Amino acid sequence: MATSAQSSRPLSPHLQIWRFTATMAASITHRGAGLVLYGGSMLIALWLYALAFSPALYAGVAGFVKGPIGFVIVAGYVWSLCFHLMNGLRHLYWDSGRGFALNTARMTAWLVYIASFIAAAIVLWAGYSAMGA
Amino acid sequence: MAHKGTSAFIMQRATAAVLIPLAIWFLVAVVSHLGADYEAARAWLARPLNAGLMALFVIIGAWHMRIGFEEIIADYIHSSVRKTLSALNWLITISIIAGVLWAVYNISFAG
Ligand code: HEM
Repeated sequence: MATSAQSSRPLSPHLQIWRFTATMAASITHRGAGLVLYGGSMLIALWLYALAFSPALYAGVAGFVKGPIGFVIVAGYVWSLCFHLMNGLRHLYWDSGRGFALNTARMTAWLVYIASFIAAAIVLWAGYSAMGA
Repeated sequence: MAHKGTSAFIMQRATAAVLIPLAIWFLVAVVSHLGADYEAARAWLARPLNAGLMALFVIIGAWHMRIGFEEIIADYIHSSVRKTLSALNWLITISIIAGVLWAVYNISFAG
């Protein structure tokens, strides 16, 4: 693809000269969360399949969800969905041509991190206390 | 967005917009049924509104995720592995959609 003349040019964004910013972290996290949700969609399909066709498999899944590893997976999915949803709002807002001012972008990035943690904690707390386990 | 052009871009945004209310519903309604036993969960999902929203969330989510993953492949993978990953992406997406339609149909009408 790249000829030797092209590959000796500096890359942008530069691979060595950069500074950590919340906006950058949010962009990476959005992609990571999307991948977690990808895996989660497969698990939800499996859960529905079990509910339809296999009481034994469903019992296994329900038991697993209550265990520590199950909790980590459910919590990871719930937080990823909260984050991806809220950060997705930033994306859609940008697509409307607004929200690009650096300060605005930085502030909304922090806001999404904080709000998604709080929302995920509430949902998980409600879900696991309703379980009565 | 460089590869499939504007239609994938628009579908990605349209599915994202529709997923906002569906995802909120999923978080509130489904996660609070986490501990439900088999009979209770089936009875809950057999209600038409719940069955419909569940099917929509998973199916539209699967479509959105297929486009998104295609995007990720296009960004990082430039070898022949790309075709394989893309095929796998389609296979997983179709399996999720078919599996969920089949399961929800079974619970709604065969139970
Ligand atoms: C079932 C739930 C969901 C799954 C499986 C999912 C999955 C994904 C994946 C894999 C990507 C590609 C990531 C990337 O290109 O960096 C993505 C991108 C995106 N998602 Fe989702 N997503 C879900 C829900 C949502 C919701 C509720 C929103 C709400 C606004 C949303 C908004 C977006 C947007 C705007 C993008 C494009 C990001 C970009 O262009 O960089 N998604 N999603």
